[in-house]
Amino acid sequence: MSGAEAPWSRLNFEIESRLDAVPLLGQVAYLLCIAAGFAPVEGSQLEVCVVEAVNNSILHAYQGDPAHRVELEAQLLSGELIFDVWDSGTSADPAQMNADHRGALEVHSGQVKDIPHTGRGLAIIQEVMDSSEYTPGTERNRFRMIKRRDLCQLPNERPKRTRQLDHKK
Amino acid sequence: MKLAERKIGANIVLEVLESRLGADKAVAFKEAVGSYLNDGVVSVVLDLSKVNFIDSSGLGAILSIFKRMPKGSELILCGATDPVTSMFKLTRLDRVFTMKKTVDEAVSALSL
Repeated sequence: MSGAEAPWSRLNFEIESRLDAVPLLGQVAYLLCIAAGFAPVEGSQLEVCVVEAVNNSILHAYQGDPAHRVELEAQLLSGELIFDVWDSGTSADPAQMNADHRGALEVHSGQVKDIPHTGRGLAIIQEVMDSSEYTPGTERNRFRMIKRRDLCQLPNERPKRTRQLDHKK
Repeated sequence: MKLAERKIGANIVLEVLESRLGADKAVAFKEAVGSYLNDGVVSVVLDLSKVNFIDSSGLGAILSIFKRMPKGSELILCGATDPVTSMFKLTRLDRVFTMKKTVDEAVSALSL
């Protein structure tokens, strides 16, 4: 982690709710992570988290309808990087969204047919981020992801943690 | 979906000529690789050396292809870049797939 402070504190980006527009937002998120001092591989993992959250908004909140907007707000604070993904589509169940999904990442190589090929998005976010929270709203839904900047180890190199959503305090 | 193919007997090496395997490309990717399985290809080496981004949809697409492989055939991945390797490790799918550094290593690892 470099000690340099990035020259921004809050940035907003907006795309149409089309899957082919998501890579651009992901690449922006990656560049912000690098500017915030994260290592390239960690920046890539954070990019995946943003992409997963935006995909969820497009596919679930908007059911794939491209006639809407998804907004990404990035805030760089002294100790953390915050990504908020906003949509104005159908709200998801916050209890389901905020439940611990990391069990979806457990695999046993001898049971390939039993390994689901979907349902890893939230698990990846929870594994990479220090905390995440979905908040439905009457006008807009927010999915907030927070990554602390003093943690420079990659998630798969960290000691095994207990399963609670905000688990790195 | 851009793929470059090189047949080796009944097997095939498919190089993914896309830099990103995300939700917008996952369906086309599955169909493109699946078409080779429908054509009677036995085993597949999937060269990921040009892919520098993969999300859960891309991983799911590769897993879906793996499940579709005919009995006795193999799917070997190779050339994974650091970001892609990182996601396979993060999701523990590196324990499911055979992953080699180079195409040559992957071809040598095919048992058919």
